[in-house]
Amino acid sequence: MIELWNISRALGLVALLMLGVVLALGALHNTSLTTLLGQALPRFVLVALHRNLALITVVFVVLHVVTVLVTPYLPLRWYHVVVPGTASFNPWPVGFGALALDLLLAVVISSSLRKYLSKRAWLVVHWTSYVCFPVAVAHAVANASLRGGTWWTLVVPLVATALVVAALLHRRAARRRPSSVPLADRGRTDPAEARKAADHATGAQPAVGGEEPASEDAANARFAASLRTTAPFAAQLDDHAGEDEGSSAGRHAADPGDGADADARTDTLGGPEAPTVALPPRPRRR
Amino acid sequence: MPGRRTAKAVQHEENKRTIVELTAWITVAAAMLVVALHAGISASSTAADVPRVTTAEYR
Repeated sequence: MIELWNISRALGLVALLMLGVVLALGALHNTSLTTLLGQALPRFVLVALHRNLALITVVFVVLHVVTVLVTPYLPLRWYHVVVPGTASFNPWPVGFGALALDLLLAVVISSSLRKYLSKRAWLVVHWTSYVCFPVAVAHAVANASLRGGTWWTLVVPLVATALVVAALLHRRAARRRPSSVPLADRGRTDPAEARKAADHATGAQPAVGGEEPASEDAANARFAASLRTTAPFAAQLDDHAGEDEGSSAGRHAADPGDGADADARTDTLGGPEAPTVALPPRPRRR
Repeated sequence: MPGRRTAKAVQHEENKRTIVELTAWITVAAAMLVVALHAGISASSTAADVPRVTTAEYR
């Protein structure tokens, strides 16, 4: 039966190591490392791996708890490993283990019921895994006996902690590193590039000089007609066109360097394109 | 575009197989680690490592 106790310890150590791996995978999500790995593996592979390994970690934790309960050397009941502080034997280490198990169950259950929860509620519960891990490490360290011959098993929580700390430091560094694309502009099309792409797609020639604006009203149409007759002076008119925000005649609205309101529309000879910047914010889920 | 679509479907199936294979290999590695840790703990365990067991009982 002492073998069962040893098996339980081995299962607990492997569960802690896998918890560290799962936490590191979760922390490295959306960082440059996953982008680098993404060249070999798509991101959904890494996300699926994070989920699968988390479920396998739960299996190892359950086996660890069951073997602890079955071992006759420990006077533990089922509620001792669920409710922290109820065990009279070795109260602090068992309490840490019970707390870590509760937090792990909360994360697993909330992830299972994710489609019934708001994203914020799920995220708040999911972030408790950052509390679960140190509590599990405290459980492992407090249970390890420095007087015995198995002090070397402390290497496992040490390695797991180093893994998680390294992942968190990398995540922090990745957040602080300036990106080539500002956060506000990610996923948005550069107006000049959009114009080129639209010209290429429609076969339209790039508009040069005082082209006719496509979204003009009758008054502006007359002004544009007179502008075409004075094309050599279009450049001079351009300087004054920016003063009137309502009129974009005589200059291309999507030219880089224009005002922020001017590049919201990409005009080509084929017609106006859909706005490529200044998109309205997406509605938030509950 | 049917060729491209087929290639994407094949790539997607390959990615899904990668997920299963990676999960299986990591699980096997974890199980082997359990066996190795159990062997190491059993080899180096003393009475102080077993709760509520005296040295005489352990022997």
